[in-house]
Amino acid sequence: MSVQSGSKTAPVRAVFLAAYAMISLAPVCYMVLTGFKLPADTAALPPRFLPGLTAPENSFWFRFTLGNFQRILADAETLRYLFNSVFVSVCSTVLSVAVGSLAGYGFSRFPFRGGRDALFFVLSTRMLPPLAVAVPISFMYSRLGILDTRFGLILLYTCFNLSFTTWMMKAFIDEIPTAYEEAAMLDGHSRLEALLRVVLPQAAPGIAATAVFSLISAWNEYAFALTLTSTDAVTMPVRIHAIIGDNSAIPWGPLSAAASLFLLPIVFFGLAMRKHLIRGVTFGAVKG
Amino acid sequence: MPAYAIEGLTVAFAGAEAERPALSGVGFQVGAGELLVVLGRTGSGKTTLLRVMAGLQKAAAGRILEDGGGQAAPMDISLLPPHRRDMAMVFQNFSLYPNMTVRENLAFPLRAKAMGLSAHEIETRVAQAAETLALTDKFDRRPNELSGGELQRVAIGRALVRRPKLFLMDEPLASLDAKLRERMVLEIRRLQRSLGCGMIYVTHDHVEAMSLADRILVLDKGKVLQAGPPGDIYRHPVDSRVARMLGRPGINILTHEEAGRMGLPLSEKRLVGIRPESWKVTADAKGPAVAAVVEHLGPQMALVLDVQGIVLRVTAPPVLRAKAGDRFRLGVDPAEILYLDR
Repeated sequence: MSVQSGSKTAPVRAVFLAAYAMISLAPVCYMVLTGFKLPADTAALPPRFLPGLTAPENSFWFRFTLGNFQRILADAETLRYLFNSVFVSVCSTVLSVAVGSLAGYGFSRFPFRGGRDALFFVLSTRMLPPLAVAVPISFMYSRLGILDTRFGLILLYTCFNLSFTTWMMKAFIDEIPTAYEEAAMLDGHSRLEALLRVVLPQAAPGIAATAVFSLISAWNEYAFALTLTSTDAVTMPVRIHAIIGDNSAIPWGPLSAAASLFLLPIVFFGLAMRKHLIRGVTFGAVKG
Repeated sequence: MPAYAIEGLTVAFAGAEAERPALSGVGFQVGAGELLVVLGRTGSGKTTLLRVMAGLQKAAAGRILEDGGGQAAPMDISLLPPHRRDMAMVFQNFSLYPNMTVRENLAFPLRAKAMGLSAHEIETRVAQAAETLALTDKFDRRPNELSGGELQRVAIGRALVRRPKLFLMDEPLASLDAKLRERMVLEIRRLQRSLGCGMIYVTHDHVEAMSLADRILVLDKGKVLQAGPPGDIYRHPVDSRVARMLGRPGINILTHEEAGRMGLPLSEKRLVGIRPESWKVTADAKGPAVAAVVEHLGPQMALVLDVQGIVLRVTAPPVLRAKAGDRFRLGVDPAEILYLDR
């Protein structure tokens, strides 16, 4: 949505967007603030959202502390799980985007009998709820000896994301005229070289968008991570759940601190890709 | 043998148009250093022919033989992928890589593995091509910052840096304005001569065809109608379809009966063709021809004459003073009359 300057609706839109941004950001901000609170302040009413050195009764002030973050960052296990999350998400994203690009190119450029059905079949792998297949997969993984390994998770997330990276990349590559790769092939390059040097660079915004979605889905995945990992390959979503624990008092401070840390990488990645995401599908068309 | 010999190329259309093949049994040859123009209307199959030559499209039947050089046997290259054929193509829409600058576009063919060139050699060759085509000052532009003529020159440059054995040109001038087109025709001719490579040039424009070609191949509905030097095809077309394709104003095709009515010498053939310039026009107040339209074209005059209901297109030297409604007498040298079967 673009705000057109000078138009009469511009102020209305600006107000609307600001309100919307506040509503959607408020919980996130409150979560980050809670990460800096002492246990007594986390559940206090009225809510305390002003960081201070002291916290008077019945005020909006809470006593600012770095304790929660220090605790999380000092905990070798949590850091290892954070690393697991980063490693597994990044690897599975790279793989699923790479394979999805090749598959999408194939579906886009070589229509074959049953191709549409094959494409639908690829998508259908996403229709089952993960928990329905988590148990059989965990048996298989156990037999293969890849239970509770990062490799196992990478493999699973790659396959799981492949369906929609294939679909998205096919859609993006459909937009790129075949004329360019034909020219590249006549310039003495093989089809693979033409794909890598001419087609994919033009699909860069599409690749960025696909990578963002793939990364987010792997980053936030919980069900498989819970069933397939126990100690070594645990990822952050599982860890965060573990922080909640099973006693009645939820440790809001450490929980919020962990969640805030968990949020950071994906936000930075999203910001880095923002330019491409906005550019979307406006590829250069063949001039003529 | 010639550099390339093409035999019995047949290409089927996909889907609904399958009743008529895009190409059927097309055969021709391209000599070393020859500029062959494929002339045909839209839908005649000329672009398909070029794509099959390039390897972008598969033929259902037929062979493309390439001279192996020396005593070597000719080689059928019709199954080779495009990058293994020693050909370069200039596309109608140019197809320059939008993500690369002019320099990168020109260097791209040289970066192919098979070329095995050093960075220095690539640079030298790109600079040379840019020099030839006056593109040096546009080196760091991207295709979307270039004019039509510049795009065209980059496209030609990209094809020639590799010094291929055969150039394929798919109506490369179609999107340029008339003045630029005229200049580029001369330029292409000059380049092709100086490189000494073969070229297949596809066009629907008979003027381009006549001014460029060593030989013209006339294609219609996927079949070769005639092949030969431009002059031969112009003077001795095999039929009225070929005759109509060359020359502006177009040839006058008269039926046996019409020609008889005008008192022209007849043969047993069904049609009589007379080029506009073959007529000798003399002003004569009692003449049978009445000028319906008079156009002053500079070097010549174009007249549309009405002779007892038969409409004729005639050209005359500009010294003839004429206006609509004037009457003329017509004569023609029997040697210049074409007799055609169909």
